[in-house]
Amino acid sequence: MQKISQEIAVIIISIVILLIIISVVVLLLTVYYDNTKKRLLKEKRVLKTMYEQALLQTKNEIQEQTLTNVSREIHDNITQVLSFVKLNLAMTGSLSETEKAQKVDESRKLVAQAISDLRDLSKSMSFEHIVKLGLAATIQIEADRINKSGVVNADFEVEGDTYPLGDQRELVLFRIFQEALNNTLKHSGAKLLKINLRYSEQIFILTIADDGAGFLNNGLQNDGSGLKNMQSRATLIGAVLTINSEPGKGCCIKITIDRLLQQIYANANYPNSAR
Amino acid sequence: MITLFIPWYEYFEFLSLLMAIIYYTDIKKLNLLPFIPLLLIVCLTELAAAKLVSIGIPTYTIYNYYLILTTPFYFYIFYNILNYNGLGRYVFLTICLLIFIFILINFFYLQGNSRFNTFSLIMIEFIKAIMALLTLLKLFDGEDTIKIYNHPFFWISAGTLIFSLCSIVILGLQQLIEIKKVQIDGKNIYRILQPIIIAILYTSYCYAFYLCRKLVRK
Repeated sequence: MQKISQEIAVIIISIVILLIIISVVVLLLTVYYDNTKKRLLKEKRVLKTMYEQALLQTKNEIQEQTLTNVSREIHDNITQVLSFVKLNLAMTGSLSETEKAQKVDESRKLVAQAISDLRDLSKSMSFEHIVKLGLAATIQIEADRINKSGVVNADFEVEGDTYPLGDQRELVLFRIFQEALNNTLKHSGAKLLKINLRYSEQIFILTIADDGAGFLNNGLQNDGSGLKNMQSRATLIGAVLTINSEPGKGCCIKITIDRLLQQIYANANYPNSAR
Repeated sequence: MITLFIPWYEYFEFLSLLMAIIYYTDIKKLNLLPFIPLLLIVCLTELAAAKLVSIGIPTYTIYNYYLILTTPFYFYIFYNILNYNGLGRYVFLTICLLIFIFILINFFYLQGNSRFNTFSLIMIEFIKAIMALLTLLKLFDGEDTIKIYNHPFFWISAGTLIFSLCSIVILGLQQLIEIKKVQIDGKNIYRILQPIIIAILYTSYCYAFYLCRKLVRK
């Protein structure tokens, strides 16, 4: 009898100890997984903040660039036209009626041109316009503006049916394009600029190629902050940016977005940018 | 004159009551105020039980009343902690009500007051363990940035979980232990194990109350 009761005692003690161990293990696992979850959440928040900051910076830069373009356009074009109109009208006092009518007609045409230029300026590339018009249309406007300036001959082409890539992603892509364009205009001395947008079901590619001076591309280490910025921005939206350039052979920048990967990336990290 | 012998583990209960009173304002902010009447009942029951033991009267009756009195407070505490809305709240309240009705039926008609209400105890401890696990799940699921082991609810759940699981075995088999005289070195097994889990439970409560202050002042 004594032996049986001792056996029961041992069994009960074993069960109790086992239950305590199970409880402690459950609690430790909860703590462990909670810590892991909190760490991941923290990392996600940091990434989100970084993304938002980069996006804000991109917006600021687009706006800054737009203002520069507008100011240049006003100075180089509209002011000149209006000055000429002013001169025309000042001269009319001493002219005959026929010449006066000719000058007024000429002035009216110049004012109409200035109005048209101003209208184009109002459609300049602020981020609201990019969001509203979409990437392809915005790049088209930019290409037209460049062609009009006559500095470079811009050839713009769209392959496939366009689809939205997400507001924030399109903004960043446009900023990369703007930066590439600036480099071409400032440093390359190119005469021809080819811009190509390729929309396919699996992939999106933006190509910007020029026939300018080119440069020695050795993995970005020795390159300027502009190229590094483009690279980091592409990474930010899950795109791959490649630069092919050789001295004297122009430069080709290609930004590729794998749509499937992009969707996973967007859903996982930046729900606001997913579309 | 009869001397009142207070076992060592009961000091943990007194200490937790003392800490609940000290951190009154902090535990109030976290809706844990029912702990004060609960711990008061616990301490008074233990003192009364000690007195009854010293004069040789069985303590079943007083522990049966203890079960009836403390259960609503436990339910209310977990109701506040889990803070369910909508259907969850109705399900929780319905389960609590059904269990309480069962406890009363058991007390008045089934096991009665002449012996310890083991059915009630098993039912209560089972549901308390479930509630503790639900609390852990809620803490784990929450978006709170505070680490789980720095949360008072974690320690309340941890202590309750360990205590409830072990109590189901120890107190659930209490009658068997008594009848079969399950002992080790002449000492009732209940007297060996129960103090340990009581110490664990009330120490975790004490730490939880301390964390209440830290959390509220953060």
